[in-house]
Amino acid sequence: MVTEEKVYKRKWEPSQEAFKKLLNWLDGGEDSHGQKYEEMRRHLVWFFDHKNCTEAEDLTDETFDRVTKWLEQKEAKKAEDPNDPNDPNDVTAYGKNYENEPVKICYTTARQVYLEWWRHAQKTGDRVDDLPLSTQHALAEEAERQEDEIKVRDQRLECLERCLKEWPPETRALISEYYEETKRAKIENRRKLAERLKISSKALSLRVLRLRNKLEPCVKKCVSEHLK
Amino acid sequence: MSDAAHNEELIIRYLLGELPEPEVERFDELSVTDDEFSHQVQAVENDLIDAYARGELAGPAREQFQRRLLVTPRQRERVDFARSLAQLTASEAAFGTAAGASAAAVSWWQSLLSAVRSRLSFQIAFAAVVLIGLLLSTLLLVERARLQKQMQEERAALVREKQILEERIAKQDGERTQPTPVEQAPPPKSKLAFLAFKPSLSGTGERKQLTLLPSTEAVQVRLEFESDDYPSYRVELRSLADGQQVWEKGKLKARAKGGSKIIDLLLPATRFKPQAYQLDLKGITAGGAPEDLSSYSFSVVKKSSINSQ
Repeated sequence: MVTEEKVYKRKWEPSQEAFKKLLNWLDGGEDSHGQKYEEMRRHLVWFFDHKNCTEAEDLTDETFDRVTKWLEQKEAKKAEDPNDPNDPNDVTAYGKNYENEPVKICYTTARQVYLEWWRHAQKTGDRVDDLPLSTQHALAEEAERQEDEIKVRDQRLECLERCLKEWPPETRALISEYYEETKRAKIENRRKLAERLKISSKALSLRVLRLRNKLEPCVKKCVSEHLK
Repeated sequence: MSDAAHNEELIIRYLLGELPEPEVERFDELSVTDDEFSHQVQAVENDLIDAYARGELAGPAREQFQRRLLVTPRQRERVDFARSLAQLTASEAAFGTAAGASAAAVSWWQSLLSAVRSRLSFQIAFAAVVLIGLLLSTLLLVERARLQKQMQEERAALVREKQILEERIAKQDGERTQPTPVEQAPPPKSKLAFLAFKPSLSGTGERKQLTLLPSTEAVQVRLEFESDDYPSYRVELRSLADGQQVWEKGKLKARAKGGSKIIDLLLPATRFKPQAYQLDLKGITAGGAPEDLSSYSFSVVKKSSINSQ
């Protein structure tokens, strides 16, 4: 495998055409207008963040770059030898065969990128969560005590209200009601809300998750603009 | 336990790093390849973050959350967002929302219009609306009274606490013959050392001292500086004894604080020997070229205890 000093350093960027091919390949025949790409991107960023990688977005870019490059190489190989009996989606480089499953290929690549990042982080001592537990507690509590947090906190609340105001009243009411209750009352509250909206609890959870996934970046952008 | 509850429990254990490795790998793969699973994990994670933000997690669960889900800047931002959301929904639940009220008003208007079409339906609908209105008003008044009472009680508690503190300070002022109590306090058993550089200290030749104890496990360094916006920054640590670079970190993002910028770094204490060091801060242009910004020198002293020389 390629070993680089910094796995997230972009040495190769796909062309517009190569990027389109990636989108088509992820869509698997049905044009999703980039939605499948966006969804996969969210999954990958979440995956890297869950693994406590501080450069989740960069590692996601790296994953997509590698998959795009692999697609180009496969296409070039097929063009050279159209009679090649091997499945063009055969990921034998990674030791597994995935029959036309873009999601699994993306995952395998992401896992490889993560392992490389982890090995690099071990060398440079970047892995914060390898520090002893007590130090991590001290870090977390220190982060909460930072003196400028109060100002940021107030700004964040203001930005949250601002972002919510851009939504229709029913949507805002949905968010308020969904997150109103805590602990045990929360489950009953959400069940009633789903009943009232005549959708399943799962559908309600997904609807709110999508709203929250739009709300968080809106608030983050607003906060950074106001605290410049 | 129902299947849904069992799944949720497993997901929570996955998120908190409590599953065995083969299960972790399986869940990792599903989180990327299975949309439904991924959404479920994210929803459970949001609930966990919300619980932490509201102070509902305690003891080992809280510690485990801090260990696993409060590590990266992105994770901390999500907790900050959850705190704001909790604050907003709590205040809206107490006083009602403009949005909720306008949504209720819209549906009330619609129901009135359709009820007008039938006289009997109109009478029934009108009566129902009046009843609902009365009920809502009563609920709001009761809730308002409860909150006002709560506020008064909290205010009274704060006043009492202030009085107690003032008495204590007065007592200490009377008894004090030594330097400030802070100097007499037992040394903190902190595992974290801090080093902060303000703009005025860079490049002036003034050298700070970083004291490391045997208990020190990590060093948090804060660089505060004034510069133009760069897409990213790099920091290099070199030993002044032999000029060798001993550590570097790139792709750093600075955050704004008034007219200055701040970068926070975390280094293991084992990186440092008792000698002088220099931190070089570079801005990285959009083209990837490094530009020197500031240098900060400091010397490291290792002590066996806080009071030793």
